[in-house]
Amino acid sequence: MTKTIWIFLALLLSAQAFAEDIEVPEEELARESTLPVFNRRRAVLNRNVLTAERIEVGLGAGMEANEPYYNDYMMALQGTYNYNETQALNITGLYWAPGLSSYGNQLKAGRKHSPAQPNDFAAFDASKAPHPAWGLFANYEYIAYYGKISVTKQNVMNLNLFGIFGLGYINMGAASTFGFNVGVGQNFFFTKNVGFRFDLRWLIFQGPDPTSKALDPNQAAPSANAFSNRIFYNSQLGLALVYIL
Amino acid sequence: MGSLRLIYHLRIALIAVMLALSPRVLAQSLPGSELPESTGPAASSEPSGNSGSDIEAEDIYDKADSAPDKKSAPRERGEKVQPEAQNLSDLAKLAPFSDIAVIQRRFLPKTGRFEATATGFTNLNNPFYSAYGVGLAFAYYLQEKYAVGLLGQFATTAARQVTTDLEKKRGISTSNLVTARGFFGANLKWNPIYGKITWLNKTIVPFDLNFDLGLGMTQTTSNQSEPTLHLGTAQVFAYSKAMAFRWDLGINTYQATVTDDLGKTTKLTQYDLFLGIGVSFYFPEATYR
Repeated sequence: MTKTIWIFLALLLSAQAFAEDIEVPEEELARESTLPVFNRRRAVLNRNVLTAERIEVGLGAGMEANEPYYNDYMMALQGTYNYNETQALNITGLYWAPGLSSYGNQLKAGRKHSPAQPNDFAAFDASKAPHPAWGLFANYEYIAYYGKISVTKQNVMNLNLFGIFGLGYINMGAASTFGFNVGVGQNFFFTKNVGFRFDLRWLIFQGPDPTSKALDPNQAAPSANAFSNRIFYNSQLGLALVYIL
Repeated sequence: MGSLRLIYHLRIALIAVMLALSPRVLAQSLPGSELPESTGPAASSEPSGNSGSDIEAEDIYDKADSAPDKKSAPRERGEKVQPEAQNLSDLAKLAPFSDIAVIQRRFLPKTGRFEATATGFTNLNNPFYSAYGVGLAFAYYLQEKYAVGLLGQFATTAARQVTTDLEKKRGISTSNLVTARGFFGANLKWNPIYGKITWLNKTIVPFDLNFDLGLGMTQTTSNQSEPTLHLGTAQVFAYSKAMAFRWDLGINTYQATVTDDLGKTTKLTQYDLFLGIGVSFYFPEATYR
């Protein structure tokens, strides 16, 4: 007990602390800074939008920008399973709107003058040729970039950039074929789960060439085998609303 | 027993006396604390080493500090003046910051700098002709968000297979279709979106997303020059403070004059959608970041 009291007293008596302002000359202050070096650099420590091992579903619309004969609007339904933050498997279902484009309707109407003129041509109804109606594609998606944008000074949006390529089945009514598609796109996320997906794809496939047959609007459609084939390169623009489950 | 109790009480009394006498702790009072500065004997005396001239110098600094700072005055009318926290209790009165950039410090500053751009582009939406060309643009950034510029596009066109097939297999000529050979114009650029993106979580790449509106003339393959409205967007990924890679998406809208095989002239509204990939250079050198 006596020892405790002496220690306590010693502590109390020694507590005369004098705080003092220490002024360091400016020329002695550090002028250089060094950044820490890490063995394993990570540019993003806490992702706002986490996709690893999650499924992303999307519903959208698009257009086939360089389609000459047919309605160029299309619908898309897609599901994406993200193995990790950079790799995913994407399944996309495409539905092409039926009908002809404005050029297709001009060709279907034909042009005939009396007397005949040099620019006359017989009516050509491309809808009688097999053409894409719906398709199902399995794509590998590589999400190389992830980041954020300042939309206003108060709001930030996350985005990622991806490349995509894959194979798929294209149904053309009386015929079907397989196609390859490749593209790039961006996801803009409004929240941690919801965003817009914008993509630009090129669809390459071999299919019936409508110009290989006469395709009179008043005649029955030739069989799919009657057409010769050619390779199509269609550029597609797509916009979809996506939700990460 | 009684003597032991007496000793015990004496010890307690001794501790109480020591407690009352010993705490001569000379600490600076915290701003806003109620502790008077004269508390403690040392407060009344000057700190050692402070001469009279130093005190006079401090007085001068104090006066300078208390003078209103013109630079820190509100820049705009109507902007509220935030009370400066002098005491701890003032912290509760502070309002949240009203002007915070969520992504701070632009890596590639543009204000007062020129931007020279070269792109290679292709037409995306012409079903009958493909166009490949080179785009050149020159812009001056009045502010980070706004720029004025000039742009030009030079393209070569070639018939797509569908055009050849229609002509050779079905005898349908597409001579009444027109396509652009070039475009020259001036534009206003709006650069509202700034972002950072990471490549595989290894490298940070700053980028801008801008939009532009322009007017100009399109040179068509039928040797006509047509007034054109240009709309565009570009994503510009900074490589350094003087160079950036970019992709551009633009649409040119114009009324094309076409003459068919019979010499009949008609007007067609054209929408040319272009996708370009290129590089931009910025000068003079950025010195203010």
